[in-house]
Amino acid sequence: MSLTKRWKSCGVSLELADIAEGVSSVNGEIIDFAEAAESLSREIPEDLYVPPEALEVITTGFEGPLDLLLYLIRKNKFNIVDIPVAEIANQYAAYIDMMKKIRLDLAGNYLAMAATLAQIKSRMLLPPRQQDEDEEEEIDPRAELARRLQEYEQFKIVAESLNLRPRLGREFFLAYVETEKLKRFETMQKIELDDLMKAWKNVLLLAAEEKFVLMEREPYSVKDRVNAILAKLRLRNQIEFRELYEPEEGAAGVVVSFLATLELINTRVVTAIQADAESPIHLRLRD
Amino acid sequence: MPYSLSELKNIVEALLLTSEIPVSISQIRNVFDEEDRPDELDVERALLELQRENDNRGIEIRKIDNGYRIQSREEYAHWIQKLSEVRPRRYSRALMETLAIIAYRQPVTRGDIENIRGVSVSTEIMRTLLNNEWIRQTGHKQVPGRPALYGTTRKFLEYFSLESLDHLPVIEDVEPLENLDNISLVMQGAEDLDEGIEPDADSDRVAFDH
Repeated sequence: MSLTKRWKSCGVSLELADIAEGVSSVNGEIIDFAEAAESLSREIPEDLYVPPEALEVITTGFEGPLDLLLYLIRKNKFNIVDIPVAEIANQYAAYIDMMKKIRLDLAGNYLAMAATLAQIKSRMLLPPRQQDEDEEEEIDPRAELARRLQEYEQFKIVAESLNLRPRLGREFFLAYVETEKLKRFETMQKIELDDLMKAWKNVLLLAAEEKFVLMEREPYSVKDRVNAILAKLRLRNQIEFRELYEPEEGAAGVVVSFLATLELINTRVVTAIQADAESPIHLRLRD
Repeated sequence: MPYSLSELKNIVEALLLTSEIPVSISQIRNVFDEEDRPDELDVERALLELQRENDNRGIEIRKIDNGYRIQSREEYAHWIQKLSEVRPRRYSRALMETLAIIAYRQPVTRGDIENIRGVSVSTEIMRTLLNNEWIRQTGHKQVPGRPALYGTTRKFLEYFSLESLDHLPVIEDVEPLENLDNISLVMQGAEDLDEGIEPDADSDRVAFDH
């Protein structure tokens, strides 16, 4: 018989919506566990079974097998003496199947708990060893589990009170003057009137020294200079390179004339001649 | 003493107000020149006086670890939160449980935490706690594998407004688990034991104390 069928045969229905209501998020981040547990307890049948669909919502609200077991014990006055291991094992198997789909990492923890419960039950089925009566009393296999459950419960409670403690940025806020501003203020305090005067003088000096460069469109073009050279050459047989620019044209005039000359030589319109290394360069039209 | 109580009180107030972190009594004393340095008792008196004066204000002077700081009163959180656009971050139960175990049982290893919670420690949670500087690695346990030991920090105290670890909420005894106290008795007698585990149909069901 499947778990779901068995569940239904108990004639009890567990409202999924009830549980979902108490669980604001299923990713385990923010879960109102208490509400989820409360809605579950209202409906819990006299049987441990919970349909797997409901479980899918519930298990994400539990913090692990201890939490789940603790919940079952607390809510149902579940007697650990009467642990129905076979059923619990089945139930755990169902949990684990389901968790494989949701959170594989969690399944292992529940599996370990199922094994622990099975071990306790099997040890309890064995008759106590009578011959050891004089020796130390046999340790109750459930005692360790009970100790762990209680220890976990203590931390569960204490974590909740820690969570309710006033927190920085939630219940209280720091009241202080930002030190960054304070540091800047300190630096300014050290400045005296004399320093300020000096600084002002420097600014004035810098302003006076500042040279503005006016960027203008270049007044000379290589193309214009080529035409000018050709015009000159048509009037005279040959001209000296120095005559190609006016002294007031400055460096720009020299560069433009030079480039124009190179252009004319390159296009084989003029030739440049020079008597010797020291003599001036002359330009002449090619024949 | 070279400074009157009211002067000293004003100096202390200014120091606290301009410090982002709690200021200790020895830090306060150290800002004075040696010749007119107030003694501890005077600083303490000034602090007490300041605390008393702030009784009816929206802010208060709180002791954190060995330092003092000014903070808004908890009862005004609602209004401050309204002004601030940042929502306080919420933390999961798993994170708070992990933090509680570290706080109360420090120094602890991941294994210790796992033993108590019954689930493996989430790396994500440890990273959040370390990033928040609420916990730090305090060393290694001298056992095979040398696992890291974790403890809480001063920031943890500052964040939760705790004067010291002694001021953590008290761990209270939990209600004993139903019927568990009887278990040991059951185990002592064979007849009782038989009763408890009788493999009939009923024993395979959960017992309820209704």
